[in-house]
Amino acid sequence: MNREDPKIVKAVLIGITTVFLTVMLVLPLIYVIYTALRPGLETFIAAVTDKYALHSIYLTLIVTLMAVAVNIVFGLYTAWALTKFSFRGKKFLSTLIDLPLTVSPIIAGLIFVLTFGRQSFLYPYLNEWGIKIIFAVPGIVLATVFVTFPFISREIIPVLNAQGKDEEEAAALMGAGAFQIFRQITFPHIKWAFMYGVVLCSARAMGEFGAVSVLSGHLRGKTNTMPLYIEILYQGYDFTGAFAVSSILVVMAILILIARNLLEHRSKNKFLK
Amino acid sequence: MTDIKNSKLTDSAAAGTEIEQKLQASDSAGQPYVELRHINKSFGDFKASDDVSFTVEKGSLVGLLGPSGSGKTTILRILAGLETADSGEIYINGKLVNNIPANKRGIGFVFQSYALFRYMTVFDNIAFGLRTKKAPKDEIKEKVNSLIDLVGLTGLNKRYPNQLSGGQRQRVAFARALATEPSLLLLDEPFAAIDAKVRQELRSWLKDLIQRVGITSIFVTHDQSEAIEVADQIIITNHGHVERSGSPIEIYSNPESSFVTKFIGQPTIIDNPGIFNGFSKIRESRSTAVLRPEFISVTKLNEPFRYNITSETGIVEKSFFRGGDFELKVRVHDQLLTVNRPITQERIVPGEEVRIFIRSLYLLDGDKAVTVLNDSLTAAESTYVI
Amino acid sequence: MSKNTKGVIPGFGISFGISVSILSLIVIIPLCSLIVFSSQLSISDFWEIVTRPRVIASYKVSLVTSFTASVINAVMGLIMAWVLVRYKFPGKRILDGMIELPFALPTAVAGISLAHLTVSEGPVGALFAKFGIDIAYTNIGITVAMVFIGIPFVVRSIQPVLEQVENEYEEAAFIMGAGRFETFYRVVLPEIRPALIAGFTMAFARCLGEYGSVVFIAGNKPYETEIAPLMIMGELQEFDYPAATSVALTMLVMAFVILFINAVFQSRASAIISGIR
Repeated sequence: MNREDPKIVKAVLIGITTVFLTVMLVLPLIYVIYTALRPGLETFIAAVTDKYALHSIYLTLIVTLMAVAVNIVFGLYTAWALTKFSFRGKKFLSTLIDLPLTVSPIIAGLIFVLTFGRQSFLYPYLNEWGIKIIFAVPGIVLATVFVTFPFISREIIPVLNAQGKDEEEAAALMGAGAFQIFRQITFPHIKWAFMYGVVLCSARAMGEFGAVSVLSGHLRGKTNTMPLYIEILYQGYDFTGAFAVSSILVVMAILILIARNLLEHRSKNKFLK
Repeated sequence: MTDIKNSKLTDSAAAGTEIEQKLQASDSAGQPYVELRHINKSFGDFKASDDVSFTVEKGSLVGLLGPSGSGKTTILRILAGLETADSGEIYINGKLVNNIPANKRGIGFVFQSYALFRYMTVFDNIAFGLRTKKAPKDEIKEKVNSLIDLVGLTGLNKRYPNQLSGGQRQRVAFARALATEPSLLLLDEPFAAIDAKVRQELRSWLKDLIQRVGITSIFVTHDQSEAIEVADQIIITNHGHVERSGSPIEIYSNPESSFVTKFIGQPTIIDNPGIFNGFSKIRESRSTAVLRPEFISVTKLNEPFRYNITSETGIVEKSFFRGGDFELKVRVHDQLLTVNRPITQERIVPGEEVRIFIRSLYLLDGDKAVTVLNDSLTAAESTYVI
Repeated sequence: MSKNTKGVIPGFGISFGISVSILSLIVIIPLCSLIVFSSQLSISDFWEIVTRPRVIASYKVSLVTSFTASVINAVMGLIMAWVLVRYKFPGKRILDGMIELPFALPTAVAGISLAHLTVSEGPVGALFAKFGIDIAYTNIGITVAMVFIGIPFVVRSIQPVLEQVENEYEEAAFIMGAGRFETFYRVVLPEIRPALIAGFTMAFARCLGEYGSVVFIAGNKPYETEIAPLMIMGELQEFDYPAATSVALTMLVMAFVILFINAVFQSRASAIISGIR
């Protein structure tokens, strides 16, 4: 039997797929850019170079960088601990890492409010030391780390599991230290998965809305990341502004998709036989 | 099936052993180089090592042989320091090494999967241990190149492991393990990942090379022909403990324990051996015994035969062609015996009635196995060894 | 414990230590504080809050729209995965690369774009308005936004499994006389069913918790188009933490039930494959 479906079935299914993806994905994307540019380039430039807009871009960058940095450290160490050693509670640990994926972003915001907010037992101490977490940048970073928590480790762990630990044991037997083993033996295996994880993590960190909007307190110009700033503009019926700032994020999303596809291509070809 | 090969191999192995033993006698004064004392190790409820003790002489090549799950790899990993024993002592060169970390024990380890670093070239793989020890660049280069020549991979320095054949990878793993000049080489199932044809060739290559380098080596295998062919000394493990240890020829011809008797060679287990002609001295009818094809001769009824009184007649049920011989399944006293008949003799076909003579058998008595000779064999002939 | 029990690979202490510290700060402590705070709520207050008609209505909206969207995604996802695995056609790689767009595009951006497209004056909304169908500010709109964010889940969980289905299976079924559709239904579908269910439940759980893309298109009319996460948001803006926590807890329970049902399906499927009863 040849596996090919009849031509007509094939044509219909390809048609459905193309139409569905075009309407659901491409149309909203193009519409953002179209609406942003419709009133003219000058209006667009004015909207994205507005003081508050620039500040939101700056804050988004900072938050994304910090969240990605924390997740890189966490992702690498955790993947190493979970795949190269056996210890009690390993299953529990990996369940906890995946937990944030199943929690609504709003609930993610809520639990940080409960932890560091006014009713928390930590609040008096934080207040005394002058540390402000809720309705300030640290809270936004924490919430962003939470929602992107499993992204890097989940990409790396399957690769390391498939690789086993023979190579590391062999290197250790020859006297190599932990960092040398990681850098020379382990990292080449996970390079592409790691970069892929970083890309996913940055995308999600940049765009997180729900959790961040719970924790930001919406201080205009102070704790607004780009998605929050877009909300404010949109609710103030400044559609042009909202779409102009959105178009930056759309371009970022497209770049991320391209990077993702290139990385996937790389990881499939390199050294895999 | 393996026994023709085996008998040939045993000869060469025996010859090797003699030379080796002479060599050892001169340089080590009977002091064991490696010694394990009362090693115990459990993984949860599973007892992987149960009071394991054995010694290994300097310069010898030892095979740890046992069925899968018998704890042989665990012993090797404990010796290397990759696992920690729950109790017991490990001595290498007279020194207690229990608390010495794996990388300070002076051990070379060849992994079953070879564990070659897939993202490093052949050269970098072999150089890894030397670089870790911060050896000078020229020295590394010289040493690695000479190792590459030694294992016969000249010209393949820049290849990656995935660009090599199974046999070539094993050679790289071997060279890498030797690079840091270990005093003890451990090999975990060194031939398991190689296809049958190359395996045969690599066995003799490895034995030859280890003898040339003169390093004390211990390898793990589940393949008896491999152990018999390659090792000077075989240690047989079962259910986590050592069943038997000795030279291949000793173990093959005098298995001693019931387990080893049923494990080594090509055993056929029979019930009530006392009913066979020439073994009536075995009175216990519930006893069992082990026969090997080489203990039995088969002749056509019209062929002359010396021990007619104590022979049996049986019906050939099946005949398998094995190259040099036919393997015949002959039913005698309602038990199926395996016998070999060389191709050069007159053909015996299924359904034919034949004469069977059992020279000897191993009578199993609890954990022990004793050799029982056929009554017809005189005292002079009983010195016969297989 | 002797230092050797971890085997020879060095670095266990530091990697375990760092993982657990970060995990504690980000996940364990906040979850504990949720548990501590919940334990201070009285059962009667909790019950009163979670059974308020407006809250019940929001659960209903969330569950109905999430379920509808996930069913649409399951069907479309199956078709798309089939097309992307089995067919060769120009532009396939571009289509394949687009699937993850909802992961990459910030939800708020998707939200305003979908809302603006589907209001009755918008380019798509106007088309439907002619037939008297409103999309934005109705449950249809909410469902559309949820379909958008759920697309990658089903496709990406079926794709690798479908690639693994051996040609021989289908050939065997065909030789034994099964028709094309029967072959798909009896041979291929059972192979990919666990992945389909996994993708469906992941999409369902994600839709249930989704906020960013939905708020803009939902209209947020109490009792009609108000989703459960928005209820929590509303309570939080009034600093009514007990109410927010109560609603959050019920939602967490719903999410866990969904994931548990999936886990049961998956373990049954893997038991069949691995032969363990």
